[in-house]
Amino acid sequence: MKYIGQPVRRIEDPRLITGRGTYVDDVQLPGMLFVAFLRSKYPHARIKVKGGPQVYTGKDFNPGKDFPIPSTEVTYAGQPIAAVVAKDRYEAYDLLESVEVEYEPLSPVFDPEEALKDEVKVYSGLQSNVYSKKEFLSGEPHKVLEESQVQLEGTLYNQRVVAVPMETRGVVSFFDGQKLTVWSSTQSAHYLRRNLVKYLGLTNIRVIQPDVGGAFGSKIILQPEEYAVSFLSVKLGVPLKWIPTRSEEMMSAGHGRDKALRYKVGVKRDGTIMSLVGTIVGNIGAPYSEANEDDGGNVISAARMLPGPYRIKHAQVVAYAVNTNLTPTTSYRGAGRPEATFFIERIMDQISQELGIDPLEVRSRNLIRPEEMPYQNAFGITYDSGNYIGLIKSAEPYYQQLKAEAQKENLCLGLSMYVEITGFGPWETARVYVKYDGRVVIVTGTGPHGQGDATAFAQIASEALEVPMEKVEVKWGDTDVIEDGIGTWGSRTLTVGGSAVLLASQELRKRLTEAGAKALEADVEEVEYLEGKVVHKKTGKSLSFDEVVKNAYKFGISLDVTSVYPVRKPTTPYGIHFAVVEIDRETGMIKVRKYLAVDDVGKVINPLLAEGQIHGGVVQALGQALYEQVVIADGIMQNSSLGDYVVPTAVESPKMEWKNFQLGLSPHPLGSKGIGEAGAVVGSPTILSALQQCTKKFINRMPVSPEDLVK
Amino acid sequence: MYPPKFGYVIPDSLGEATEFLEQHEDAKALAGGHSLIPMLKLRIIRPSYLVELKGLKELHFLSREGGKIRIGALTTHYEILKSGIPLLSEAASTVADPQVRNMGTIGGVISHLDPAADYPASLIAMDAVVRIKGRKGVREESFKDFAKDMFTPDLSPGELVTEVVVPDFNGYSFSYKKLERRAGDFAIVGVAVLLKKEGGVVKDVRIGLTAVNNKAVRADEAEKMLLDASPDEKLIEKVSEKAMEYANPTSDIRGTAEYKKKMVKVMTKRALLDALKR
Repeated sequence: MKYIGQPVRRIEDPRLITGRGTYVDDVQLPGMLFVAFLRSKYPHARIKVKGGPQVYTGKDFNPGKDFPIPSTEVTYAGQPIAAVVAKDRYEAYDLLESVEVEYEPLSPVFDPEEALKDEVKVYSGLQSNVYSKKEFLSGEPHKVLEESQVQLEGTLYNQRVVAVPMETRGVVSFFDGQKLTVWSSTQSAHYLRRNLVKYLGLTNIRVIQPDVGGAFGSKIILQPEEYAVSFLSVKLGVPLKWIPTRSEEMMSAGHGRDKALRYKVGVKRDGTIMSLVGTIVGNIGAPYSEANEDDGGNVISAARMLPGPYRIKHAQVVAYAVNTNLTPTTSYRGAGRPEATFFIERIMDQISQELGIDPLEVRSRNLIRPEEMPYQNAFGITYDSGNYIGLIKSAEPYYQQLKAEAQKENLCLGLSMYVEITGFGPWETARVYVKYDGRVVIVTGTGPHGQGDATAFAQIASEALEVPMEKVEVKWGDTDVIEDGIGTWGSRTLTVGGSAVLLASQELRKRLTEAGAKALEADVEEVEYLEGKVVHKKTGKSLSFDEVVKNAYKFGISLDVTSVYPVRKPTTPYGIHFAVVEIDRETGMIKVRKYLAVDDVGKVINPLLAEGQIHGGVVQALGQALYEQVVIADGIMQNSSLGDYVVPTAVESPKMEWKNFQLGLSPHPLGSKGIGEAGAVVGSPTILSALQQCTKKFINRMPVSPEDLVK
Repeated sequence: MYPPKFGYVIPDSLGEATEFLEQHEDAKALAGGHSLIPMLKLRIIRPSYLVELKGLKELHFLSREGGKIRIGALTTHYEILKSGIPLLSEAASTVADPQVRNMGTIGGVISHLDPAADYPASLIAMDAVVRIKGRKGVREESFKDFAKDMFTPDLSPGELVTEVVVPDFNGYSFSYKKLERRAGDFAIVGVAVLLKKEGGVVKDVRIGLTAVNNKAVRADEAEKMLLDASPDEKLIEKVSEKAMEYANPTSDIRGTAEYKKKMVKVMTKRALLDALKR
């Protein structure tokens, strides 16, 4: 029974393709009322909201404070400022129209470069608009820059986009007098529970993460509405449901990226980077601390990953996370690493163009050598394993083939490389238990929401226990069924959560062996665990898995194991991606015809699902490169509908291929690295690189609009 | 997402529908519902009643007689795209996405008059006639006059579009070229071309533009340049250049006015070349 490494089909599918999933809006409770939020029309204003029997304001939720729900001052358009409670959603939205708000507009600031000056405060309670300023330094970058043969400079903009999961956020909340139960479309039941404990001051809280229709980072943090709905259900003692509309969601959640880099790079004439100096300014929007902590961290990630897979010894980056009167930003697939990759890969293409060196060659000349692994980059991030040059060599035949195809059809071939940090800690849990009848149940502390990790966990446990996958089920997303957990983000679930599953399965296997030995009246050393059976090495007598289980219960041996897997360091996958792009020279319309991803993500547990993650990430990257951006005028989002905010359809998506090479394993027991974000990390610069090949124009911002190419 | 409250009327006949609409000026007729319902959900409109037209079989037909094609107002985009009407069927195939095309109707599109809609470029090129029924009787208007301004059809309270009549354009070749950022979008620029050639000479040509003015326009002068000519690439280039003069687009999220104007030339050229080739 070999499951690990096999393209096993998803055990999650049967329910979902028959409409038997349960997403938060499918949850119905007797007597449930509906909550809707009134949202600020102004990016910055003093407010007076008239409360009422069905209307609750910041003064109810957090008197004297303006977060999570403002009581006197709003700091972004779309911020929830009052909640109404009604019999159903139609009446709730009728009721919203009758809520009276007095706005006294205050000066706003939207441009982080302006905000840095602290002339206009985003919020009256702030000392400074600068949420954080961090500097990372290695060597003597300024001196080396001066001495460099070639100096290049520029500014790169990685625009604000929205995560747009097909299912929005949503909450059902019920307080039974003692215990609060909250269903939420969240990325982690456990993390949401801890946040609710912190904000509500209750500990008797159960959080359920039902089926979740995608998140892409937008459902990590405690959302203001999650807090408010939970608070209200405690106050009112009735079950409440909240589901925002798409426009509300677009205006108020899932904003990500929005970082700029000003840089100078010193290069030798052969394309070797000698020094890199830059300033990153991240626009993290309004000062809601939960969001700011999240995306403030991503600004740091963007800064520290700036050197990419290249050996840049002399480097300095100053990273600002700056508050503005826009929707607070949060993680979006890649969470800082796509920005870093976009920045350094654009710089690589600039060097390639300026010095007339082939884009692959210029990268090769700068790559970290295999003998330097593990390698600590200029800003202190350790790349744990791999062979970057080896991967390029492996990709070479595919590259040549694409090159020939592109030349033949007069298409543009672009490429980019990346190195990524995945598998963040601090720990993760797994519980494995066996029912009296032999049914194996795995509970993970992670919170999958589309990534298919449950299938991979079943593969891991089945292989460790040598039982058929059909015997194994996987559960998650209920704080009452496992002691605790971290969650699903940072491409960590399979590697870190899977390691916990492996540990628990191995411990269970030990207990089963003990039980088997006892039942065979032998010492543990005299038996072996083989294909799910316990076999006496000498007599050959054996007990089936189910018999061992029954005996274990008889002997009082618990077959319920929980393991906690602690993480020391993230692990670093890498790869090289290629895009073949067609430009209509008259209209500027761009079509990505083909996309090839060549990755090393360590041990691949399930290639079918890994490839699915690449496809999904790449299409989101394509969206950012060519279509998506939050358009803002006077602080108001102008394209808060799917009619105007362009996410790609099947027609815009390329034919995709994925190749993987396992040249560097992670130090985790499974040897795997994360792949959830890789496509989104490297896809955008790959497409831009292709456009540059054809147009010979250096592109410094996204999305590239058709008219940019016909000007 | 949630429409405001409204009353709902299911009339037994067209007469009953127009009578109710006349008596209730702010009532709205409901056809395919793929413009009206989105507006309700955004609460952009707040009608007192919706009058459901779906059951009125007399508005749902498509017939060919005496060199004319009569298209009932409730004929859907899907039905039009399947029916082989020169130019118009091709335009119908580009409207939105399959689900919208299954519901949306031609009567609804022209009564709504979004300036970026696909049909108007064709209808203006085809000299389509709109048949309108009110309580006082039936009248006919050329599509050109019917479309008074963006979102402003020549319809009085109580009047409904009952059919659109177009010549069958026997022996014409045609092309509708739509520029869009993404499948399913409204047009950035749409150009409809109908032409008749005899022995390599253009005997009739019609060029309709959409999405670049308040309402669809014919590029008359551009048409004239082609008439009785044997077009070569140079002439087509000049004609397309001329067509640009008929575009007065606005800058929006789909592109700047300057870009759209340029694209009128590109799409006109493509539509002409395509039509000439067929």
